[in-house]
Amino acid sequence: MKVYVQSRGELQDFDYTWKDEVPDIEGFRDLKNLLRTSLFSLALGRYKSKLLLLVEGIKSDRKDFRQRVINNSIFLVGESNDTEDEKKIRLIAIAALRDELEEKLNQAIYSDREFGFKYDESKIVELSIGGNVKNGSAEQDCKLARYSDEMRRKLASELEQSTLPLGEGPLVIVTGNRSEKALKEARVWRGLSKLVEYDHWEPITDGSTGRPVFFMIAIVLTVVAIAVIILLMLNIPEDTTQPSEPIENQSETILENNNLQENDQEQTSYSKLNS
Amino acid sequence: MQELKVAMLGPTGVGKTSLLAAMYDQFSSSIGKTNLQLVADDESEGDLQDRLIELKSLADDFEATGGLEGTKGEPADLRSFRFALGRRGKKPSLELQFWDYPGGFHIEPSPERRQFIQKLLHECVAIIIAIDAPALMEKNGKYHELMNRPQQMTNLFRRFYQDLDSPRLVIFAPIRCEKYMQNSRKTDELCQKIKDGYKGLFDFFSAEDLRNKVAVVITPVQTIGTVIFSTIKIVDGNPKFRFHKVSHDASYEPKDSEQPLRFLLSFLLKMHLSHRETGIFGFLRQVFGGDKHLEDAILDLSKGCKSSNGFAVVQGNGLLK
Repeated sequence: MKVYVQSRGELQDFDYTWKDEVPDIEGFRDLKNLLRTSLFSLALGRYKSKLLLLVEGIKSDRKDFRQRVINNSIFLVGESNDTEDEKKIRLIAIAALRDELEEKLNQAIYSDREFGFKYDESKIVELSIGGNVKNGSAEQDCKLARYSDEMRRKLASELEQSTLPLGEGPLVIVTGNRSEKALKEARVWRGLSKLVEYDHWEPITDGSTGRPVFFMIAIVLTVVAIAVIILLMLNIPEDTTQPSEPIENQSETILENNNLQENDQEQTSYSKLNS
Repeated sequence: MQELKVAMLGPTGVGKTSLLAAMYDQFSSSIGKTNLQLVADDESEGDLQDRLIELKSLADDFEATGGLEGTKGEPADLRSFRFALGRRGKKPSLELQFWDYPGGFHIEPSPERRQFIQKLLHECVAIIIAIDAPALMEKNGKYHELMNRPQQMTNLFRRFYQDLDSPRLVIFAPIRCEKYMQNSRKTDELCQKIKDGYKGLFDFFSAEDLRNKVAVVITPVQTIGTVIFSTIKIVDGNPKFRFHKVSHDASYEPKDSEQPLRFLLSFLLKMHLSHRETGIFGFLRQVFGGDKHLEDAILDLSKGCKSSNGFAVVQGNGLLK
């Protein structure tokens, strides 16, 4: 599992920065853009066979040159199909939701005069040691609720009981000020924000916005596959009775068709311009 | 809706976010007395409310230590704080976008960070330079260069304010300045120290090419109002600025944090009335759209712009009135 840490040093010269580098992992920006607050935030998602966890705004016991409390953020990258990675990431997310990370991270992320701060990667991965989770099936409905301590606890319990749902994209978003509309558009599986209307889990019933991407894709692919099989079965008798065209002729036909399509497109564009 | 961008400029820790939160807090009270309305979008409002709670909590302890949590993120992560401005009861015609960013961009300027700041200076009609007043005023300005980095600010403008095709407004906003606003002698001293501390920048703005294009004002903002500077303690060779409340029962009472908005709207109205609606101000025609009531409402608000006792229009009076 890969670990990134964002923090700052005490002196003015050591402003907030990611170490060892700004994460350049698909999905990082997507998750980051769904978080909006200066306070605690959490995002969990699956992208390109990676399972990602971003936790921001974890208060440290260090202060900067202005005596402002320094916050730590962590970004963990695991393998999506690795059950051990998923277990570790779930356990760290649960600890974050239960406010149990602060103290442990204070031991893992510490001041350094030369670089501002340093961190011990193994101690961050070890945050999950000792915890246990169950592997019940995830409830598939997508749900949103207004951010509160109670809903954080409920979410932590749910992550403790069941595995994460399959699907590409953001799964869990916990943040202060992201609009309900933004969370619905992102099709998150579980979303908590102060800007959500409901004070309890409210399923997103609208099929066009609420279903996880994976299931939508699965349904579409199934329908397409059935349609292709039916078409192939209908075409088999005709193919056996007609001789096939030479390959060269087929190529010409394809090129001609493309040209025809291009001409059609040009005409359409012009007619749009004219209209 | 037309958009107008404003940038908060300054190194890390000078108080850009505190200034923005304090401005937001007094927007409604100052606007409320006019025929204007200024409404933040939900996400901006939520963020600024969080910041405001932090700011107000600084007045809870007598030894008001700390400040608002530093801004984090890379250029791709940053979002503006958005406010819709219009006449009361009418659909807003202008969106004010305030851009805050981590001051560390000036210390470790990657190409993306440099490009972000360049874009800010290029696209923003107004720039608000946040100044840490104690660093400027105490110990004969010993920590001014360290905390406010005036030379770095000057170099930025020198680099990016070349061949301006339209007027701009630059607001110098000293904050944490409660101690220096007690009487006219102190306010005069604050004003003079700003002019001395940023001499290179003032000289740059007053050059022939920019004199008539850049309006420069000084607007001290007391972000908490009841917390004043007390001492500087040196810890491990580094200065720690200490503050305390004026009395044990004093509460949050910001002063003059609406002044930057008054100057900004005054500047826009002047651009509109003097028919400078080209280039970056091309949007003004749509914003005002012959709405005399909107003009009057902004005029009303701009009458409250202060220009004495620490406040000053350093240059470009003709661009403001």
